Amino acid sequence: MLFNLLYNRLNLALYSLRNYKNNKARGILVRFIVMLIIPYWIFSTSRELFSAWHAVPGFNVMVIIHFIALLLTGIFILLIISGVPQALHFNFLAPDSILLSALPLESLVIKKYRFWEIYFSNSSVFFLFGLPVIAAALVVVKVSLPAVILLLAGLLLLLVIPTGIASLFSLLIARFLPVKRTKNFSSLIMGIMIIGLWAFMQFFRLSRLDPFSGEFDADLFNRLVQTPEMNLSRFLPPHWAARVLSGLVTDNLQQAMIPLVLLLLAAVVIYELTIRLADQIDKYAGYQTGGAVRAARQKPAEPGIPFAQVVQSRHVIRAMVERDLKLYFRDSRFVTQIFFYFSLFLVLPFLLREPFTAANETFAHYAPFTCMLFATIFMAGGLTARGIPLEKRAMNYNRLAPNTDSIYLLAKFGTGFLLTTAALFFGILILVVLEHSPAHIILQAVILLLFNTFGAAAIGLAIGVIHTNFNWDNPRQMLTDNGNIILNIAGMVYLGGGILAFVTGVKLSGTGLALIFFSIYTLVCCLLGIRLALLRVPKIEAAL
Amino acid sequence: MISVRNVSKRYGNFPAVNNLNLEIGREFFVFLGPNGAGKTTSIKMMTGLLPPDSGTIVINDCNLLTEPVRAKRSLGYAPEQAFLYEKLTGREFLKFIATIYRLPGAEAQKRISRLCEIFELNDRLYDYIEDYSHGMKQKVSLIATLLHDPAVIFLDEPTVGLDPKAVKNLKELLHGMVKKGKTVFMSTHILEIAESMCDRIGIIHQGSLVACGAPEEIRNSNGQPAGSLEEIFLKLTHSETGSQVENFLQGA
Repeated sequence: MLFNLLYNRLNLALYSLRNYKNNKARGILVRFIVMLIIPYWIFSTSRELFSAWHAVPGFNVMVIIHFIALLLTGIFILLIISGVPQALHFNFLAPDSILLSALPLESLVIKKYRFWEIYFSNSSVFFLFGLPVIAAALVVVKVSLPAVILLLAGLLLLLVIPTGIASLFSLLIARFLPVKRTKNFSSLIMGIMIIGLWAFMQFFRLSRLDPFSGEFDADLFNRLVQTPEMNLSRFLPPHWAARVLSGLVTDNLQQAMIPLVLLLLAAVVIYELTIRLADQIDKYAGYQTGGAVRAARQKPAEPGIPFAQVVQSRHVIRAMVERDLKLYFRDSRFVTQIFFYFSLFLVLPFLLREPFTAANETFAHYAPFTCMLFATIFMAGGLTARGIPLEKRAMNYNRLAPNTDSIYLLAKFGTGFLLTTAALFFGILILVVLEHSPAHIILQAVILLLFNTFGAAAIGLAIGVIHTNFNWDNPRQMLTDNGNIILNIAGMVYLGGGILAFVTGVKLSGTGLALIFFSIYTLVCCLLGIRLALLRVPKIEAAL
Repeated sequence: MISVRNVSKRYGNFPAVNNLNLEIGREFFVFLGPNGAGKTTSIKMMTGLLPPDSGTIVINDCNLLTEPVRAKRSLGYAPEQAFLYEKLTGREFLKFIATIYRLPGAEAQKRISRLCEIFELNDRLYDYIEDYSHGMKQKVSLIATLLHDPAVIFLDEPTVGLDPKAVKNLKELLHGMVKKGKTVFMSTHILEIAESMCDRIGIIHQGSLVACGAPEEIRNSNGQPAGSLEEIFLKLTHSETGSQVENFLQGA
């Protein structure tokens, strides 16, 4: 029966792969790119690095093993953290729970099924990012096929452990905290961690570990060689997997088998412990003891912002903006997204400063602020475009209310503009503190970026209205497939036009005229975007 | 109060509503029809959510198509399925609705409080809507519909998910509103509720209005003065029953 359930799950996954919304071909292409191209890119980059190490005279294979051990430890920790929201979802919130419990199945079978659902759902990070690196290592050190099979078995066993730990955590959390809120909170933590990792990876270059690169960092390389043998991390399961690899590449089968048996034992123990504990809790303590059953929230002492006595259009707009902000900030997925946008304002100026400065030295002072143009377009366009489907089908209430479409659009525009401006000033503040830019440049940058935000938000608004999708489960589905692509293209075209307007102004007279040209251009784009959105907003109902 | 003239709507080649004509005064009007007959499409057009392909709709003497903002001031609509902002609390949601209908503060507070009392929601107003049951969401949707005291109230299957007490309260509330001169336009599949509450009934089938009048008028015009509304409904909508059930039971 467990096999049937898992087979059914596989079919569902394959079905969603084949029927990607309305546009099959592109949907499959996108998945193909994600599932094959990215791992291949990681594989080839890692192979280049390992080959470089291999070519160094006196090469020691342990460098690669240590690198793999560190990588596996990182993924292992990541999988435990990412596994908690997954486990909370599958164990307590999955919509098919009622259906499953109505089936004539032993509850232990359902628990096993849930475990494997979490396992496959949570392990995709490993298959996408970890496995290609290990495959590259195996290719470089030339491991035999039976050894590869043994290692793969060890890795699959290794993945059981973080799944089990995360599931156990989820069972513990569910007894004391509200499940849905905790899931959202842990998703948020996970999202912030991934963004932090992404930001770190923007500055950390693998070429620092390449002995043939000009950026080679010998200290870092030596630490990589020595560290794993020095610390307690060797008692962690990822290091057992690395020791399996170590045994296999050195043809020491005994050295490989001991950690493999350890992995097997740990996996079996944690698997059995998890499913039996889940089963017992389900039988004796109820399914959602701490989470779902809770008292009604107490009335807050302060009633909040009082009602306006005379309601004018500005009150309506403010109410809509407040509602949108609440919808954004009470959903961990959007908080993560907004956090990502904020991090763009921090990362991009430092990341792109060098190429910009290299291109034109007089441009050096402006370079960090110019990079923020990209960030404002991404953020303002993305937030306003997604602001339309944000309300899902509750958007009906805006259409039913006795207000003009312009009030509704102004509120959407306002929310996107407000959040982007907040991120913008945050980014500028950090830059000013770190770079000590001259005051006149900061002033010019602020004017330029604010006008840029106007235009980008309006373009996002128009695309959001035209390509909205109210039936979304994941924020990525908030715009239609075409909508996401058009939004990106329109953003780049808009930026190109802005740069052209600015450069024309500089060539004709100077920075002053350039700013005027740029402002006029962005305001024209802003008006056009809002006008287009106004024309299309009455047709939105058809989507409801 | 509601005047629908020659209204039609097509989805591609499918005629969802075909030349619909209705004149509804200050009364309780029930709209009946089988699944897919065009009830919800008609209501969506009458509430301004869906533009008709042709025809005119007048709500409380305001043309919905040419003066939508004025017309919408006097209408309220509770859809069949309550789509609410899940991440807002019940109070935040109702406060938001009061603001977008430009309800002055004191009146809004008073009406929210009274309506929540009727539907027994006061205790849960500070909870997030995502934590509400289906019935509670339906109650919030009904309160949002009635909050601005609309002259014309559209209700699409309003009793689905409500407990018996809430259904009784809703019935009393709607009757009281009709007595105070408001128009209630309700779509339902529950013929007992329709018969017991309505002044007039409209039956739509395949996008066309096939009967309209008081229950007695419809009975008499169909030659079944003593017949039940169910029998007349099934006859008018050409719905065969019995044989399929019999065949199934025999097979089983």
